[in-house]
Amino acid sequence: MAIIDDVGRGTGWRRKKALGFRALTYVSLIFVVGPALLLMFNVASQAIPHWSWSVLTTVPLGNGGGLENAILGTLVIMLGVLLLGGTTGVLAGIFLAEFVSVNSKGKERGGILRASIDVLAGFPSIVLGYVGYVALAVGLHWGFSLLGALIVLSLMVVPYITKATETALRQVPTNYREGAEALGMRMGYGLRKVTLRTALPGIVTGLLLAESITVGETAPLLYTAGISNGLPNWQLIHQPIGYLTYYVWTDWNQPFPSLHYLSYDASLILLVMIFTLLIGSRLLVTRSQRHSESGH
Amino acid sequence: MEEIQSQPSSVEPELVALDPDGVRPPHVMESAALDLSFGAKKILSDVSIGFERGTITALIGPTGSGKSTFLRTLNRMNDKVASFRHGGDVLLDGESIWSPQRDLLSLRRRVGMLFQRPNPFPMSIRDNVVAGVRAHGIAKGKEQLNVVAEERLRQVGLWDAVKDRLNDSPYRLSGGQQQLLCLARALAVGPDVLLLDEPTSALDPLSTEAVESMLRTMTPALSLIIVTHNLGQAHRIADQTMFFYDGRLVEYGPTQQIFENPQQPDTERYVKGLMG
Repeated sequence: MAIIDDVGRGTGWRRKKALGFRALTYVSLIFVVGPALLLMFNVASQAIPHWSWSVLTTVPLGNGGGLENAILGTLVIMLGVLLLGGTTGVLAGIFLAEFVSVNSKGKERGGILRASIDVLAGFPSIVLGYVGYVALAVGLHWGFSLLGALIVLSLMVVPYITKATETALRQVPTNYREGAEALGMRMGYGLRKVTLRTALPGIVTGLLLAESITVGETAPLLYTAGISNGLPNWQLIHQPIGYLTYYVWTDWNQPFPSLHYLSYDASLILLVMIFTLLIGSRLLVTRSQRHSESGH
Repeated sequence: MEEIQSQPSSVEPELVALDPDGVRPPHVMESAALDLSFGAKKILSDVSIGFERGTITALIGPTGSGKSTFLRTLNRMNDKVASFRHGGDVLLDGESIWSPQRDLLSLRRRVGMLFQRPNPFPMSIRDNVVAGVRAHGIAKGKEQLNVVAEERLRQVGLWDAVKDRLNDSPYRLSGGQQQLLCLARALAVGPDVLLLDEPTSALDPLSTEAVESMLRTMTPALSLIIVTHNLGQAHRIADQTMFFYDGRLVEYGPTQQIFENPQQPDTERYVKGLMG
């Protein structure tokens, strides 16, 4: 009956309501943007005055040194998760959106996969890390290892990638699919050339989220990757590996200013990585969408 | 209805040129006692009809009469719908479209389709025209593909409008131009039959006229089957007209006869606008 009330109260009331609503949206905007800006400002203002480029080219040494091992380690882990988790997640999403058949009662199959993904998404990362430690580091005698870290992190991010991929594919207009079918394109061909291309922005957003989570994770890595001050050497097992988040936390808890600087440096580098990722993926999407319905 | 079907086509000499040995059946497609249903819902019963080669056949009838389902069955677009069932048969050049020897992809290459809404793919105008050609490996290499693109765009009368922006997005074109682009894309794979599902219902009158006059130039090399709600359109372009009502093929004959001298009372009510 709100409409009738509004009529009774006239335009003044409606204007106030609209104003109030708008104010609420601004407040929530501040809640999101405020902390993000504060964080960036804080990290930048602490890291930049003491910044030294040697951080990028030296490994940790005593109470100083640099973060080369951690930077390379994080990049290697990101790449690995993109390959392992990205492939798995995108394929699972394609499966759910395109290949799940409908049974004779008109109900979709694929329920087990969907349920598994939901369970996985709800798992605390530290539990997943511990499971990885027990199963991989101890159970399979891998010790701290890159592969263990990649598997656990991939499991963590697969739900996001799968959901994003499935949603993006389901939003592709039926029009496109039918057009491809009616031309006699093989299903895989039409999927590649028409459907996936249209869904790319959504899929990339999912991958981006996954990579951001990967970059920022600490707990599961402590259990699986361990830590190493040496440079990563692509050995998959029996070899711990360094990563930035470790130093953010550990160096900050040391009683030496030089290590505090390194902690802030690590944070700044993480931020720069995420921004680079963001900008890079936007460029990729813009380029791929130059012929899309929304992109022109 | 049988005797109407077997009337000689007015374009016979040209058809003879297309089929000098006379080995092709006179009907490019034929439906034999065709029943269509989705689950328990019966859509069409007992449709037996032949489509004359090299002509335009219009399928008319009120919404829900089953004509669109019938059209989409002709290139097996309904097959992937889980509850879809068919009885009877559909023949293309005398062979069942569901026969095990029949490859679905080559069937669709021979029986193309144009949809209600223009559906260019999210790729450049040129890539759109040659999308099917590429998929089927009919032409390869940039040179060949460019030739195909130009040829087909000229055929649909779009070349002059787009020749300077072949690498642009197709969505910048007007709705009518987009539909012509889709037509060029469908023609590029060299179909024998083109199915058109209300191809101008999303277009303005001028674009509709452009598409219609384009369609008229395509016979007799091609056989067209067009579903339309626009009775004027059926009257203007179709050689034969079929009237569907309530899941049955009620009447079939030369367009002129269907519109001016219908034999069935339902047909008469429909074409006179007393039922819609």
